[in-house]
Amino acid sequence: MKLSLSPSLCPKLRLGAFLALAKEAGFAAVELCRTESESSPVHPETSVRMVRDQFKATGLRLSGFNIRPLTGRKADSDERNLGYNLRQLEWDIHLGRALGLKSANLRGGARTGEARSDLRSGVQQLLRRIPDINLNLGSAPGTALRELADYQALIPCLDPRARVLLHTGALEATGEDPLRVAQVFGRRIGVVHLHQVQGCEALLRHLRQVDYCGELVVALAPSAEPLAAARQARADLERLL
Amino acid sequence: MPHLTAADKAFFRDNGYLVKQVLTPEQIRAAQRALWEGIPADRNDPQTWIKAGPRVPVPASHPAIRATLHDSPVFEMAEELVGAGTLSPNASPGPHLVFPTGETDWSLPRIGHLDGYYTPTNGVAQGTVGIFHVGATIYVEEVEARGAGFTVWPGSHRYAAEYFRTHSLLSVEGGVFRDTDLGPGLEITGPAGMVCLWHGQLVHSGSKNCAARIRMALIARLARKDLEDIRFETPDDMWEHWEGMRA
Repeated sequence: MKLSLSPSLCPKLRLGAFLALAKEAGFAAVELCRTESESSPVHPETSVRMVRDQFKATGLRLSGFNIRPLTGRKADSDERNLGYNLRQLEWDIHLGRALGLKSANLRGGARTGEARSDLRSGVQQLLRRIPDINLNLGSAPGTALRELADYQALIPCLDPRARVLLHTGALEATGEDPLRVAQVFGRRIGVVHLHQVQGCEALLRHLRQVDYCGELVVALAPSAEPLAAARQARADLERLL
Repeated sequence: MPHLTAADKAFFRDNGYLVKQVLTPEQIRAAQRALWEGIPADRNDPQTWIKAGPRVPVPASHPAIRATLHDSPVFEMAEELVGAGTLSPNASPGPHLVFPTGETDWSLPRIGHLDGYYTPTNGVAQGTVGIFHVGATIYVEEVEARGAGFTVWPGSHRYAAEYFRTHSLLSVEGGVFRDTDLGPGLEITGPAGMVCLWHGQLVHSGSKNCAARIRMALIARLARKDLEDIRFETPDDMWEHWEGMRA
């Protein structure tokens, strides 16, 4: 398993500052988020070549990119328009590809039949159009993917390049046990996000048993002391691994 | 036998556009006939053209409209600039008609824009840019001065290339470089059958039609087949992905 740091613990830091923090905390890789984080590679005063240069300068590896959600709706009017939404996601995926990635992480839209249908259709369309990427589907409270049953209904219908983004915090927030999801989808897990390190021993044991060798992303809640929190999480995880 | 000379390419390199006569009289007549199929005005009575419509009277897929790009030298000329076999052949030239206003207070547009940028009503998805390499504006009717000619800001493609080396492609709201003096625009006038080939990052605009004729322009936007692999690239050499310009 490869350790990586999410900017979730320091959403206000610009990319350069976040990379410096990750490096100082001992990480060799980071994830980035398209939205909800100032370290997004999409910033008015940053070109893609500048993002690459910043990674090169720090020696860090980009391990993943959380793109905009597949809601099936226009962001500016909330009108249902899957094609429009997919054009946004394709843009984000190609941005990730330009940064050297072969996968993207995304969430679904609202917890409605319409959004579930758009998520299923949209993922299939994206995978058909962009043949060299995997999509990791994340859960979140109140969205089309919330708990194990949602994954069980969706994942078997999708191309094998659609994988599970196992986010411990998002699952626990809805009362779901991340270990149960990992036991059902062990070999279909594309990436793991750990909301906290304490209490994840059984999950890590299971991931080892199923030979999971993907990214283990430390995705902590925002912290007033992000460097200390990141450093502590990395040290705890390395002990467990 | 190439359509473009070394001088043509040098002009395009410096100015970001190039004007050539391309259509045969029969191609012009066929395209005009096609456009008039969708214009509810009297073709023989110019008074009925004033403030008529629609802007897009027939789809770009109409055979006579599509022929102006693919059965003329236009597509081949574009590939002479970008590189042989590099452009996606799926593009069609969309009609963009501007009808006479009957007014006389014409002025050159003060600002132009880059194509492909989001506005709430243009269909471009928010947080994306519709990138392409060469635009082709084909006149199928004469466009005289003050007749809503395609207006370009010569050299602005070089400014854009430099700008995007240090800024996000998404940073130009509505495709407009605000607070930037790009010099005066240039209204492209010319006879029916003429094409203006322009760099996909050339600032341009339309203008008001204070002339008697309908501005009958067809506009195609041509992108490389490998666009998805290079759309975020802003190399030091802005012609890196233009093999034809390096020949």
